[in-house]
Amino acid sequence: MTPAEAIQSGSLGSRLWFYSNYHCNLACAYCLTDSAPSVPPRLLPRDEILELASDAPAQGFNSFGITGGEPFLRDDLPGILQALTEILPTLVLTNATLLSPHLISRLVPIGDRLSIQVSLDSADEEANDSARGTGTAANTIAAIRRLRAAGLHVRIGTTGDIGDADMERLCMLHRRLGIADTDHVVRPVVSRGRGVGFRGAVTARMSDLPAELTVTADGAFWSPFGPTVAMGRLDTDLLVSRARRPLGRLTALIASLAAGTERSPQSLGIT
Amino acid sequence: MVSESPRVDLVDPGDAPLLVRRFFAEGSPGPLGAAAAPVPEVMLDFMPFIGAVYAGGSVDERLREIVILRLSARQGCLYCTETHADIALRSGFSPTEVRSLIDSTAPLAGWSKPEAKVVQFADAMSADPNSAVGLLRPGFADHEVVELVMLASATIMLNRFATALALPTATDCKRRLGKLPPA
Repeated sequence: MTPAEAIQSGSLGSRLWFYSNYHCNLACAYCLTDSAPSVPPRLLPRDEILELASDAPAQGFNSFGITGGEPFLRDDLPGILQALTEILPTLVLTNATLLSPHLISRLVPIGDRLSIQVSLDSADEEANDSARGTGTAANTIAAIRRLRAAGLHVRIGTTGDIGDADMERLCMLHRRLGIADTDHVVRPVVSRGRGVGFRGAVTARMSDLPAELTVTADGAFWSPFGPTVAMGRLDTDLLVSRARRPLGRLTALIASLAAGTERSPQSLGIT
Repeated sequence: MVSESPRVDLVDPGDAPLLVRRFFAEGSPGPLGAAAAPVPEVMLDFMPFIGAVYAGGSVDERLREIVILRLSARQGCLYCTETHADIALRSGFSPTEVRSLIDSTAPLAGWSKPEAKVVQFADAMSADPNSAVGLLRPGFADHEVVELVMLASATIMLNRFATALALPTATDCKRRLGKLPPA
């Protein structure tokens, strides 16, 4: 089965993921990558991102995802997003707390091929901030309002099991912010990185995770849940290769692994 | 030869990358595999390559073991020397023969003519590879020469790999060699 056939059959995800960097202005309690302001950035070079991206359509990919770390810590991110969206629709995951009016003005020209998935875990500021840091919810909601006012496509990503009542309040909040239910994704805390031992954290084995090629400064991984870091040490159990290119080789490797993998009924997605 | 802790983390079976997980199916693949695993796309081809070269073709297994052990000792690789001293002893070499291969000052064992040739060949592969093949002639056909050169070359690569990373000899091997007390 060719990589394109693997994507068509669904055994390999159609979104190509990039970890733009590992550092973050926050230090969330369940962070998969042990990210914080003080960790080494480990940037995925812009040229490599764009080289991989340019090869992606021929391999059968139909969208890009960028995550981290906090991608907007990179000054060159708006330019990277512009270039990516000229190739395929692109989703960027962010805590939004760095999205100043000036930065948002640099995103506006990119247009509707860019989607911005903002992390927000609760309508209750205290509950959100207990895991994500004091003042985070207020900053995030303010940024969402600015993004929406600028006409950008915003999604909400919620991590954790917050209970029905809080979920209802959160859904009411995002609807008031102009974000449809179809643009609200919820996923559990995953028992990797800082999430190990976190309340309600779920195990994520290879068979629990859809195959989605994810390229980081450390190599290529099975899933965006793969390049996790615990106590400063990279987990290698979901590593596919240390080589980060060419894309055809990476895609062939992960497609061959996906072809031999039984998927469990539980399937975790990051988006 | 200096023994110390390995200079890189040896991958545990639970951390084995996806492409090479099969090498960890029955536990650790040993220090060479556990050291290679952080670069899975290389290990994927490295392990079968080493397996094929060490499995051999038409050259007698005893001659092959002489090359590996003698060369490893000449290269100063503690890991390979101890590991293959143990293998040689368990495959029927006498302690005198093993000592003779490891220690160039030890009395020569009573090698057969082909065995004496491959001892000289191993020494040359370490010190003067341009002269090595000539030492196998006459007596060894081309395909045997190629196999022995391939074996010696792969051994030198492993010697460097194991020495540079200070790979530890397996505990059970050290016990059998009398370098550790019995369990």
